[in-house]
Amino acid sequence: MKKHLARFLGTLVSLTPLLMVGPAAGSDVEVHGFVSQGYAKSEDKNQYPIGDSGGYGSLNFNDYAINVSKQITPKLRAGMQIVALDRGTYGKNSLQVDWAYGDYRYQDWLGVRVGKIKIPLGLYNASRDNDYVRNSILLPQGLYTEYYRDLTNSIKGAGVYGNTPVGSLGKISYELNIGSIPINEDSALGKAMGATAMGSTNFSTNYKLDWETPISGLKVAVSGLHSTWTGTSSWVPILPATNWEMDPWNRKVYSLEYTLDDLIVTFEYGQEDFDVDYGDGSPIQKWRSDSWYLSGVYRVNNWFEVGSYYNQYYVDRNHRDGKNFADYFYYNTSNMKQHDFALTLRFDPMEDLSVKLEGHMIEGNGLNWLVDLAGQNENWHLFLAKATYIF
Amino acid sequence: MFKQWFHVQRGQQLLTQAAALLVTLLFSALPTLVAAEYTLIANKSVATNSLSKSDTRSIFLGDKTLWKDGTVITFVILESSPTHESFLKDIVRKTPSQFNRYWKKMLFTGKASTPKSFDDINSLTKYISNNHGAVGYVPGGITDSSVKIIMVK
Repeated sequence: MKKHLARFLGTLVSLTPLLMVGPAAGSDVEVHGFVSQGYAKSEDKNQYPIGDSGGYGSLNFNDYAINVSKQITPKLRAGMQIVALDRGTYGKNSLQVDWAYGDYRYQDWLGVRVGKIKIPLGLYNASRDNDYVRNSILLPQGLYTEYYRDLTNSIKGAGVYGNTPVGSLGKISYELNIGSIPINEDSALGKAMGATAMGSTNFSTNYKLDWETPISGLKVAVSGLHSTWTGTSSWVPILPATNWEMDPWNRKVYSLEYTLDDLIVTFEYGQEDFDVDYGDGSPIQKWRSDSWYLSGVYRVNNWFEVGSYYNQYYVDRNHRDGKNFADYFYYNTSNMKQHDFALTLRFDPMEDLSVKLEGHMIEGNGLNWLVDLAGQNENWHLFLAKATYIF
Repeated sequence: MFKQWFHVQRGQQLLTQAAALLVTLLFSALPTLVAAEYTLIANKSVATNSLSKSDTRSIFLGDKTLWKDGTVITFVILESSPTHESFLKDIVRKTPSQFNRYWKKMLFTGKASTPKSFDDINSLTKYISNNHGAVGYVPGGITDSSVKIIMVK
């Protein structure tokens, strides 16, 4: 971990001369980044989202990123971003290419991107690594599950995008991406699956449609991600590894955001459907989960903002009481849901620095699947603090 | 007693009339004040003389990147000023912090560069006058023959 971090900081230092040249000064190459350090304190039996956040809590909760981009011609730009994040049991500050693509904007209604492209899914997925650009530290987990980050982060392939006014009906923007999503066995998902090999997803499609309605401040969006993927797991170390397959794996998110001056109200609803073939002759398992949340963020003044959300997640949307937990090899009904009430206080002592404090009251543990579900408390709490500097 | 009552009544009447006059003056002056808070200016090569609020908003959100003749639009902002705040509120329908975060999101997902920003009017005007397709805003009432004014309808 220290080796990776040292390399990352070395890169930052070597780029310092470039950082001195701001974009307004006429530099062709832009260099930006952020440094974010957090603290997480959960409970001994419900450690989340950091594996060692029980007891006195954990500082293994950080995100670093640096990006370089250049406007090559008025219509062509290219860039890439490297990130390193630590979540205790995974991440471990290893460097990864977050996005890297060329972007040719032919017209406002049509642009083309080729490379590794961030996945727009819901209102926040594409910018989920950057703590600075939102109010909460932890996004509503039912839709932006921390452990799914690698699976929904970026797609290697190509995409088209654009926007067009639609007269008195407002404006429509779209994005469509195709390719494959790199995931590996060291990700949170890989660890949860006991994976020894994962690789990339097969052919995947991702879309997002935004409608800026004629009602001032009201935005509506629909987005989706459709894929299939396979992996190899050693469920029991002494037994031979088995190959499993997720086919299909689909996510859809419906979003609504209303802005009235300093107040932003957001509602999102999402569904996740996937079928798992464990490759051991057992019946194909069908997962049909859903989640929704309602959030409000109010900017009080230049340096203070308060926000809150309430999020519900159900493992099986057709059996919200969770009494069929045994079908999922779970232990009780609390494993079948997660309801989360969060409150965030955000302070901006300087324009490029944010400091946040956040509390969560959580019922159920359906998303806390990196810790043994058998012994977890049904009602638990989580406290987070995070400071982010952006440049 | 009657005289005292008459004076009170007369006083209240005068107060009501004064308040009504003040409200009338405020409301009649308001459009002028708001309209005078900023002026949209552009490089003289820009063929457009007027823009809708919606198109102006699209420019400053990076959705409209080309003028009608195909020239690339470069927009600039006058940061940390009352003009910036009133322009964002009236045209872009965002607060300065919402605008800042919007562009940080664009930057950190690789979709755009940060908008060019200036602290003073002279530098901003000079940049616009020297760059084809450039557009920005200055406080209302400020005129400079090196740039053209674009009406926002």
